[in-house]
Amino acid sequence: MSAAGRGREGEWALSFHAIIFWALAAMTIVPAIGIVVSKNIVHMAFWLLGTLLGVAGLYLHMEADFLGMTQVFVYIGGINVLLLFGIMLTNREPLYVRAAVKRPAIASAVLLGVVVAVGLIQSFGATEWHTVKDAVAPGLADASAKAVVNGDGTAATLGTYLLSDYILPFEIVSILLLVVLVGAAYIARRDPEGGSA
Amino acid sequence: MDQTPILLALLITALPLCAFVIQVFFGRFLPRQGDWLPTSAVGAGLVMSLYLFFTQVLGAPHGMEHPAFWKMTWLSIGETSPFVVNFEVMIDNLSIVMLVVVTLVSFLVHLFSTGYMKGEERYNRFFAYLALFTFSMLGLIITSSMLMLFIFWELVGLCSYLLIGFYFTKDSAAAACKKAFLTNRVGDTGFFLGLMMIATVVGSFSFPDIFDSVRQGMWSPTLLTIAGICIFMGAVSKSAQFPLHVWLPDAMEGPTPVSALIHAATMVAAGVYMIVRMFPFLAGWDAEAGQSAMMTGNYFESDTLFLIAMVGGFTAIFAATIAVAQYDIKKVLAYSTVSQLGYMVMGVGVGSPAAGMYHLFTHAMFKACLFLGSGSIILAMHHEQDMRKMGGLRKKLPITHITFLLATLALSGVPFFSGMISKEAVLTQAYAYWEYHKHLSGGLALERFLPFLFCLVAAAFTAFYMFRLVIGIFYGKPRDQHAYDHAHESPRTMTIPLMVLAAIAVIGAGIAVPGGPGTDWFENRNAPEVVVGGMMSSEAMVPSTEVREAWESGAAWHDVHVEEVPETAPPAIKEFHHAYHLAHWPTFLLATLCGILGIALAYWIFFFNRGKEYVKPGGILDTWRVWLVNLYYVDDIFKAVPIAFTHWMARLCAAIDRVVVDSVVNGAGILGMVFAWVAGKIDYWAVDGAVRGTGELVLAGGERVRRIQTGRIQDYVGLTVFGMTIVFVVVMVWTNWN
Amino acid sequence: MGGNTFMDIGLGHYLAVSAILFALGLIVVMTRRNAIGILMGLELLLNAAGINFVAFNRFSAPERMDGQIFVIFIVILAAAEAATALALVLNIYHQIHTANVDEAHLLKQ
Repeated sequence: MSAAGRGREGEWALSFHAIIFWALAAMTIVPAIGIVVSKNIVHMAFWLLGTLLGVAGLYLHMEADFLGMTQVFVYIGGINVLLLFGIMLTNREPLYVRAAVKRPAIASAVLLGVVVAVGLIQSFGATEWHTVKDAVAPGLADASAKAVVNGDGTAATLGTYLLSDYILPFEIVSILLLVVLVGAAYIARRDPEGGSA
Repeated sequence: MDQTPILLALLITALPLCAFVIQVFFGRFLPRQGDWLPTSAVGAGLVMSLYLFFTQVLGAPHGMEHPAFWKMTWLSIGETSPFVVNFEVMIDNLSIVMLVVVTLVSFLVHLFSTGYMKGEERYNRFFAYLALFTFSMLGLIITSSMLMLFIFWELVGLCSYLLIGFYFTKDSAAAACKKAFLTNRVGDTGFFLGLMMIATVVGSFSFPDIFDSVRQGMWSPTLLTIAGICIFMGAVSKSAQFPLHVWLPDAMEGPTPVSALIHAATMVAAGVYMIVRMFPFLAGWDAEAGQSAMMTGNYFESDTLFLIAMVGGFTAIFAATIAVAQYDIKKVLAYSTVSQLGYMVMGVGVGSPAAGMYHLFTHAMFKACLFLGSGSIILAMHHEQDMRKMGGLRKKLPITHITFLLATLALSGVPFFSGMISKEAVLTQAYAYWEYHKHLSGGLALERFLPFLFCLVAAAFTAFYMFRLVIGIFYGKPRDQHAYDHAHESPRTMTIPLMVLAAIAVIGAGIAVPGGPGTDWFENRNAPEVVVGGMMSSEAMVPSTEVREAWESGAAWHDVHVEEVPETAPPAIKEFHHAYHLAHWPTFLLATLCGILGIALAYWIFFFNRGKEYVKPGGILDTWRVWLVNLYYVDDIFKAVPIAFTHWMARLCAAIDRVVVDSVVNGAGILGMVFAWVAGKIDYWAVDGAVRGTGELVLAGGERVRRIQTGRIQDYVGLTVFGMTIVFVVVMVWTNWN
Repeated sequence: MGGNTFMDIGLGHYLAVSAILFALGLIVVMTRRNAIGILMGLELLLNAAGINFVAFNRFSAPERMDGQIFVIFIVILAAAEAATALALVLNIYHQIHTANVDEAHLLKQ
């Protein structure tokens, strides 16, 4: 294959790659803004669904296929549904929240948010990050990219990591989950004598 | 290599597990609540174990020389030099003998339970637990990985918890199972520490690797001793050695068949089996030869083993004396078990795992018989366990009576019974141990005499309390006429196990001899030890060729026929063989004498009702009786010590508080007064105005800042982020400037 | 290759997305009265951190996958946190009949 041909093909791949990125970025940010402005808490939950999907897409875009799937399963399938249940169980009357806090508080929050966002982006841009390559397109030097291209997926490698180098955190997290399971069941249980609600 | 033993062993182990799974989920819907399922599963295991025993162990002159191995990687941790945990199975003579013991006793207990537990609530659940118990014990036997052993070890503990607490609606049963579980945790802590030491030094849990590490001197002798003691702690709790024996008598709260299973084959045997299996490790390092003890055959100078011998010997006499003062027939048997376990542990400690194992084998048979017999009695007496309310039952329960009597004779060490031979094996070894040390030190080496002395005296006590029990239950006049009139012999399912066990208790002496019971009993009475000794001689237990040859020739293992030790035998073995020869006759005579003395005394006191005045208040033995009735106050000490410790800590804290903290506070107070006086002067004279101004400023500022403290968590988040942003900006600006 | 900001997608772009997401999450956390709303904001914050982890892993140290491992742990912790927090919210709701945090101001008293 000639250099020019590769260049053209590369360019095309590049633009395609970029388009997908922008689409995913929009898919992440726009629902997030929706969460901020929404007044109905159920709407918020559904906007959150969009953002989570967008993040999952970004993970996939970065060749982290296992993470993308985990994001969909755990966040959307688990946490988001859990949140919806929470909403249904705790809202007496309208599924709708007032803009909540007072106007000055909102204003200061938005201001702070803008400052943080601008500051972070500015400093990210200003910093010379150590990058292995100007990876503009998926490259085969990348371990996860290799796994994805080979069709293995990253799950096998991640599993090896979890059961070797990260075995201790893994076990600790297992215990944490068990504790949470028991603790959440205990806390959420209605006190039979308290007679409340 | 022939993999038949592995396959059969896995099958033997898997069958009870399958039975458990089916039983626990579907037992209720099966005919007869599914009791036949675990029973037949264990029965099939028994058949296979016997097949293994006859083909592999008795098939060759000295059993399997090369153990069968099979392993599967379970976990591999780390990348460069991974720490591998294997699922390992190893079958050698020792495991096969244990397989036979466990499946045999377990099968008979299952069979007995179909009669004993009839009509009980949770009948199906009981059989499920029994199957799980058997499975755990079998798994513990066949594995060759210390970690797997630990897992099954804990499973055994769990099952005992479930079974002891089977009548969990009874408060005492609930307390007993908790006590058993917690007491076992104490020892398991030590066991686990030992395990971690092994993992650190050896980097593997496999028995061959562990023994290799000892042989290659990877351990410092001190650490080896410490690790050995830690490992032994596990056996102390599991095999109910002093001072962690307290759970075992309380475990009598469980149904009687469970007591039989726990006491004969499963739970308590696990501890003894473990120290036998780990014997090459516990034997330690022979400093003089600069080699591991199992290479030089010198098992007699290890500190760890000496400690084990002392603990075992002390437990033997300690528990035997307590058993004298018990009235609950199951409690008598429980303390008897503790005492006999002491014998086994001491046997291992004085350098003869073979003798310990042989005693485990014979004890399993007659103790199971005794427990099942007591079950039969209890059932006949309508759940009455107090021997003061029995008496004269021999006419009502003829089969139970005969079998119980035979097992008692075996336990008491009467000649011609299996118990005598195994007990004598242990005692002779202990005596030879003393002879050896006497010779070695040139002095009397009295501390090495103690294990033997303890066990000899315990032998007399054993005979005494067992005949007290037999006379109390079966002879004399009925003390509770109503219960006596309603007593009746148990059904066939319960008497058959009794008869089988009693038969083995009698002929157990000859059962392991190739070619059956010998013609000349006395000449052959050492033969089983030789065979059991041979069972130990596979390379899994003894890696050194010289020691193995000595072992196989019988020289290391008490064969009186062997006059000449093989030339190749290591010096320690030659030395010990000599000591053993000296020990043989005195021990036999002394042990028999002690047994007869105990029996005679029991008849004198309980049959002819003499000598009661000595234990009456004011009699010379009264104080001792009170101590015995209170179990030497061990439980009370266990209860009192933590409380006393807490009180002591509280007093200590109070004292620290009074002396240290108070003086600091007072000192600070005085210092503060001095400063205040000085400051007051300065204030008054110099900075009054300025201070007041500052104060007002602070107040005004505080009034402003107070408003931030809204109690709304979100405001705090906002402030935190705000603060962080400022810090961030400052840092950015700072770095960009520089 | 040219330095076209819109076409050369690199580390900075992902970081920017994550920064915006973080800021939005912050605003949500600060402005909501409803505890569950605040939880949603927290999820946004965690996701922003996750994007950072994967992006740095992908662009700075692609020969290993440690960053992705961290995200797995974040997801696990997020699940644990959501479960616990919702249990707490339910409990508070049973006691004071509201899920609004500013009405649960026992901290202030």
